[in-house]
Order: sequence, then structure tokens, then C-alpha cells
Amino acid sequence: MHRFANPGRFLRLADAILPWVCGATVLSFAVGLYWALFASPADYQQGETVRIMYLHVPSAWMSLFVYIVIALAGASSLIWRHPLADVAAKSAAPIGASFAFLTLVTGSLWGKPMWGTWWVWDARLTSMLVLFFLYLGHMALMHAFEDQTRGYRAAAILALVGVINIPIIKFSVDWWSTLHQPASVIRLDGPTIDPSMLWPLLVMVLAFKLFFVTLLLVRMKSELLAARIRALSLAAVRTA
Amino acid sequence: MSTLDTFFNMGGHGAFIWPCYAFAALLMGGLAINSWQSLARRKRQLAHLEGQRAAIKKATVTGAQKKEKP
Repeated sequence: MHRFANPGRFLRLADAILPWVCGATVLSFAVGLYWALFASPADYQQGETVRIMYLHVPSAWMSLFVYIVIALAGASSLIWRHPLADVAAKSAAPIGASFAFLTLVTGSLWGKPMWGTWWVWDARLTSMLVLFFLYLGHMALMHAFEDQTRGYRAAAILALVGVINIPIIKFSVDWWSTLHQPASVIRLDGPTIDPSMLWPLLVMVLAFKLFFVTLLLVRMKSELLAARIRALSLAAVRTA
Repeated sequence: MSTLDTFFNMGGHGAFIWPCYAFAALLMGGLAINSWQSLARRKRQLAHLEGQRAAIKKATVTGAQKKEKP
């Protein structure tokens, strides 16, 4: 892993894989959306609103996954001073925040016809809202200090402390009595969801994951260029 | 009701399902466009700065050579 810590090597690797990941993202979204909207059945209880699940579940899983990525990047930055760790965390945070926000909005739009309410302060929904605020806090901290390194360090600490919220979100439906239904895919006794809905869901999960990787590579490249621009501008000011 | 109307009606829940897909497209599309635009802008900025730097270096070297040859 440390072999790729060199920004130059990372940029070459990113340039080589980006077209492939981008193509795979478009393809998996095309297949996933066709399956989700046209080729999968309506649910016997939820009816057609089950189609919201194909957006809601992948975005919820990704919002948790991206937060773990940010926390790991934070740990790498604090412990090993990994030169790309802060760049990765800074690049991933807006993507994760967007996934968390999408989860909240799609959940709300599903909740109204199914539960009869847009929002309830139950454990799952509230912990998900906390995750969204953690993302916003992380992004704010990264830009809060004149000395960029201090901002990155503070954001890394917040990311590590906030990891406690991840198992709370995952197990909130088991630990507390909530309106949100329990897990139906990642379970010890196997998924309870019918394969005709499980497969399109898994393709959409893959599409969201590839979308994240594509944008992460683009944003990390952009951040590395921004660092080079800052260094060159500073050098120009010094020589002037 | 035509097949298209039935599809968009989504069993009477179209008003909840389509906004989800529209919002996801806006949010994720916006994020993708913003990321690529920012990368393109920074590439242009960097090329401009590196061009300036090369020009200054060249001018300095030429100036020094002129001073050496009276």
C-alpha cells in the first residue's frame, strides 16, 4: 500500500484505471437502472415503492462505507503521516455526505406512503442524520484552519471518534424498537429478500461503489494538482 | 390508461418514486460535473503557472549569459 503513497505514482495509476472504472460505472448504472425500473417485480406489500429501495439501500451502504474509508485515511494520516491519506479523506467526504443526504431524502420519500410520515425521531433515522452532520463537521474542520495540517489533523480525529456511530446505525434496528425494518440482506442466516429484487439491488450497489471510486480518483487528482498550484504560486511570490 | 401512463403512475406512487430518481440524478450528476470541472480548471491553472515558470527561468538564463559575454 505504501508503494502507492507517492503522489506521482498514484497519479499515473489513477490515469491508467480511471477510463475503465468510469466505463464500468456507466455500464453498471445502465444495467442496474433498467433492472430496477423495468425488469424487477413490485413487492407484494410495498407495491411499486420498492423501486425506491434500489437507490435508498445502495446510498445508505455507501454512506457508511465512505465514512469508514475516511476514518481509515484519518488513522493513516495520524499514525504513519501517509502523504495521500488527507487528500483521500478530503476528496471522499463530499461524496459520502451526498450519499448520506440521498439516503435521508429517499428514505423520507419512501416513509410518507409506507409509514404515513416523512420523518420520525427513531434510532435508525436519527443516527443516519448524525452521520450526515459528522460528514459536514469533517468538511468544515478541514477548511477551518489557516494552517492546513491542523485542519486535517482535527478532521481525522473527528472521523475516528465518529466511527462509533457506524455500528450504532447498523444495529439500531436490533437494539431499539424502531419504525425502520430490520436488515434483510446482510444477515447471519442469509438474505430474506427475493432473488428477483436482490440481484438488481446488488447491481445498483456495484454501480454506486464504482461511482464512488471514479469520483474519488478524479477528486484526489484535482487535490494533488491544487497542492502543486499552491507550491508554485508560493515559489513565484518568493522569487518576485 | 396507456402503458407509458401506467409506468409513470407506478401504482399511484409515482409522485414519491420519480422525485427520488430525479433527486439522485441531480445530486450525483452535479457532484460528478463539479469534480470534473474542478480538475479541468486546475489542470489549466497548473499549465499556465508552469508556462510562466519556464519563461522566467529561460529569461534568467538568457540574462545571465548576456552578462557573461560583454
